[in-house]
Amino acid sequence: MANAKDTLPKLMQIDGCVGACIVDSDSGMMLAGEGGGPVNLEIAAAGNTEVVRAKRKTMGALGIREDLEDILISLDAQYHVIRPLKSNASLFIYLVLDRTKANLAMARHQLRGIEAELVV
Amino acid sequence: MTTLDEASGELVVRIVYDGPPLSGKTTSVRALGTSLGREVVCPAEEDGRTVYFDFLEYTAGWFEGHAIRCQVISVPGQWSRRGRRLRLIDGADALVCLVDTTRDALPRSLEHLRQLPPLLEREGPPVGFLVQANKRDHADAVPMEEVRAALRARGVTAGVVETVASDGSGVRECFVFAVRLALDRARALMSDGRLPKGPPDHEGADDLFSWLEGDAHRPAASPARGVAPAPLPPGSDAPVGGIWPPVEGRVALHDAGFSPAAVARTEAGWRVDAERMTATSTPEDAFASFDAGRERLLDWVRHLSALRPLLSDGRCVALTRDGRGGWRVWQVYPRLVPLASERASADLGEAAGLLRALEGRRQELGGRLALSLETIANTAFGPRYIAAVPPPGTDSTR
Repeated sequence: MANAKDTLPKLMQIDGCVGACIVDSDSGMMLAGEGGGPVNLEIAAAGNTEVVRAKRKTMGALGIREDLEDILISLDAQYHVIRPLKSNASLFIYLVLDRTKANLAMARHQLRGIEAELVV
Repeated sequence: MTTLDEASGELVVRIVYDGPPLSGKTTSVRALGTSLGREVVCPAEEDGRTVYFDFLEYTAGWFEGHAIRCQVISVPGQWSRRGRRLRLIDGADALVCLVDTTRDALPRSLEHLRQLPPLLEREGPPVGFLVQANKRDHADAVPMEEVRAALRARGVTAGVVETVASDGSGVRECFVFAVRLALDRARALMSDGRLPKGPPDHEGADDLFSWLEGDAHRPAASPARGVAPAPLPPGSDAPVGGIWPPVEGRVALHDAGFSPAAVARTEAGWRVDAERMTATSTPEDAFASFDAGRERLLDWVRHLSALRPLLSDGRCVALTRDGRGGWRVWQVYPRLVPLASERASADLGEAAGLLRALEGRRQELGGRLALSLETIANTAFGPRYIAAVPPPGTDSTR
């Protein structure tokens, strides 16, 4: 088991990672964050909370009862990955990847393993 | 004090860090400041101890389309500064209670926790609190299973977050969970249509300091909320010239040991009961300064002196700080068993005789006391009036 403080360095070691944070989706505030590069993680945390909320609301409206595993957003130069914690649905990990350096599949795989160990 | 500041587009909430002295309140707020990249303002310190408060502001997150502006405050922990502590707690939307989990300090922390709930009652949703189990790195830190068991044994069901404030571990998580509690309260107020709107009570540390010191006297609670926080009860730490009789009165107040948690609002003003004494105060007994209150104190002294032959012994009058930057005059008197409780119906004749005797003396003195079997007792000095005396300049009331 790992806590928020232990988890961030592991996230930052994912190839291409330029920023990572663990976010409380109730308040949109970061429990922990590191890096970010051109991305202001505080603003991103609050904004992506709305993304997660909207997606869950849409799933509810569609009658989809599955768990939300992750949300992938592709930009010109970055990938943004949002992964809710299975151990605590009100928290999610937000990862910012440099698209030129990251392997998206590998990043998702590593993120899955790190998320599974995180307990808050 | 949560408020929706539509001008700035922010929901303003206040997170207060409380706990016994040296439990890690200031350390936690400073660690939080470091983690959030925000400056912590501390108006004054004395030997490393907080005199007024530690203050930081942090705006982040999202609530119903508004950014969340958090005012984070730690209170002074020393007993001599409890007035300031109570005023600051009164403005909390969520409270983090520091518990020093080292073996020697844990009992005091648990006792501190036990006294919290009455301070968090409000009109509307109560203020939620979290327990921050601090000093987890100490060699003699009590195992968390024991800490949780001790909390459960005292009926504490609040969430618990483990921290090492000295290196910041767990501090930010605890803060974010406290923000959640504050948002829960804001949501409840919003759904009832009672979420206040407008600028916050205090814009920053300077404003809060001025208010706390009473330089720009502002009420601790907005009138729109309809709840005035209780004043501090009288204590023996009143300044010279603030207690009458000076020596006996100070001793009586010291022995009474009135608890701030026991102060209750009544129709006539405020009342606090201890095991052997009672203190009452009316709305006319509140003043902004000691000098203004002293005139009223002298009125009371003259008033009680004139009625002295009718009154039970051991009374005093005190002018003490109200914990909100002002002063208040209290009438203090011993709790005695009235005739109505003491006498069986067969003794009614004797009781009526005592009542008549006292009434005769009252008419001689011209006093304005409501004499009845509920308000007199047969003392070592004969029948005496034992209840609160109506204030100077009023008609008698029951």
